[in-house]
Amino acid sequence: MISINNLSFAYRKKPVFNGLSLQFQAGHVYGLLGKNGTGKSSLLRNIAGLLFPKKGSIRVNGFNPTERLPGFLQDVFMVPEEFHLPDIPIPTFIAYYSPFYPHFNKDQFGNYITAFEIPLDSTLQNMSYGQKKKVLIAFALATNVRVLLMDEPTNGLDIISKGQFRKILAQALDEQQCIIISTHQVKDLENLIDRVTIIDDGKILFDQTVEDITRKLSFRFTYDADDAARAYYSESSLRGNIIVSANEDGEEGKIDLELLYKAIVTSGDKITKVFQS
Amino acid sequence: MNQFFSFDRFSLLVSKHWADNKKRYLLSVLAFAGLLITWFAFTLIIDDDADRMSLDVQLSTYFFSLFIAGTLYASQYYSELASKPKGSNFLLVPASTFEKFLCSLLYTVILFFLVLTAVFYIINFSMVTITNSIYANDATFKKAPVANIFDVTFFEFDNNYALNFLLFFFAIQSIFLLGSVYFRKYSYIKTIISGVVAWFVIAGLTFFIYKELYPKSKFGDDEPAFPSWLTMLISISLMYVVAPLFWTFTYFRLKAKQL
Repeated sequence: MISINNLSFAYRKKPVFNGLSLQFQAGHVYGLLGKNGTGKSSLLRNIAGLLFPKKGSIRVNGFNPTERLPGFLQDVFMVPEEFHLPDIPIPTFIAYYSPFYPHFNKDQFGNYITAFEIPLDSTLQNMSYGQKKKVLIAFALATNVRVLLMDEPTNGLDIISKGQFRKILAQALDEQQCIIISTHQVKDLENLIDRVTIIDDGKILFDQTVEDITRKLSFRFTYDADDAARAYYSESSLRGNIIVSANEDGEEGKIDLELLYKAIVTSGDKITKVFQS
Repeated sequence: MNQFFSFDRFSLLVSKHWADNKKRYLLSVLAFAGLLITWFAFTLIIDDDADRMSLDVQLSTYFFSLFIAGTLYASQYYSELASKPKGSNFLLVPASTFEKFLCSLLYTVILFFLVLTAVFYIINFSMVTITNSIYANDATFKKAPVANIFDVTFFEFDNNYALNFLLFFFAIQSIFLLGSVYFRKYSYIKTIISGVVAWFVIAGLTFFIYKELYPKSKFGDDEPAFPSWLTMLISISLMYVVAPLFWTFTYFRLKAKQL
């Protein structure tokens, strides 16, 4: 679905990626994690055709994104971190924007908007940033495009809205779709993504399915100091330690994305070896 | 699916542009009409009796409006590309670059010209009628005719006057349309500066090359007089070459735009 081969990209003289290769398949929700400025947004913008690679290639649904052909654009939707919506009522927005997307479903849009508790007759410009973002997310999901790119989708959403977002996205998942969500607010993606890709300094630091992660790693709380010492990553709390360790009993537990991210950033080599073995 | 041009997609794009901008466009038309009325009323006060709503006043008002408003509109058409959120919204709309470019020509060249000319004629005709009726009994007042904007020539290289001024206007406007894609900020001012610099460079080069190529004896004492074929060539270029050339540059610049 998305194939990135030997991608090099730079902003003038500031290199972002150098020889990055990555594949994204349909039927998955990818969590693209990383610190600010590590290239998450640049990668999404390269996939969307808003930025062009300096070297290497990207193919999305068989298209070259840099050509921005209509066949490519009608099957890819990006929810950027900073976005613009026109100063028109929601029904007008739907009437003029949705016909560009052949699989747009108005009923679906209505359901999402209702779930987000947004009045359908509102004018976009009178809405708060969070409300506008919810309209854009609802629109994006209702387009039913095969590639959905979301850059920090939960930024600007309040706690209730973040819950609504997770619920709506979980309902909207489709086997034909590939959803890539870039964020540094990793907690917001828990229970949503099925593959974790961590980018650091323009390189892929870690790229594994949630299934593999929970099979090989254990995220738990321990009072045992030896346990904490043996762990790949440990964080002290009031009573004991929260650790990331090898999953020795093989039982799949719950993933803690924040802990995983910290473990990869601090002890990436050790964890990578676990997945290579 | 035709990836280069589809009439359905183009129609959707034209409708979408109208939906996004209709409030701004309608207000601009009202503001233009108001300015015209104010200006004509002002000329009635300051002009001598015989010059009230004269052809000169009408024509200079029309062409001044056409060139200023036309270049201003063209120079801001792609202004959304200066902002990442607005520009992303524009570039990611599922239509081809050619359709987006053609939409810009439809609005900035055809519809702008038609709307401006229609509004001008409505106001101008009304003002001429009102002036003629108010001053009908004034002995020194000559009845003002309604100007024909198509009966004007800028370049006398053929007799097609109606097309002459339009083609010249499109040539100038096309430069500003390119400027709106090219410059992120202050595109109007930067386009004027670039245009003036380019004009002096081209004119200077033409002058010196011609002066070097041909013996001085053929010209006047101080400076060479350009022969008719060269002035004809410059005129034809301004009429028929500049606009298509700059539109082509605009299309390719739009195609290569990154945000």
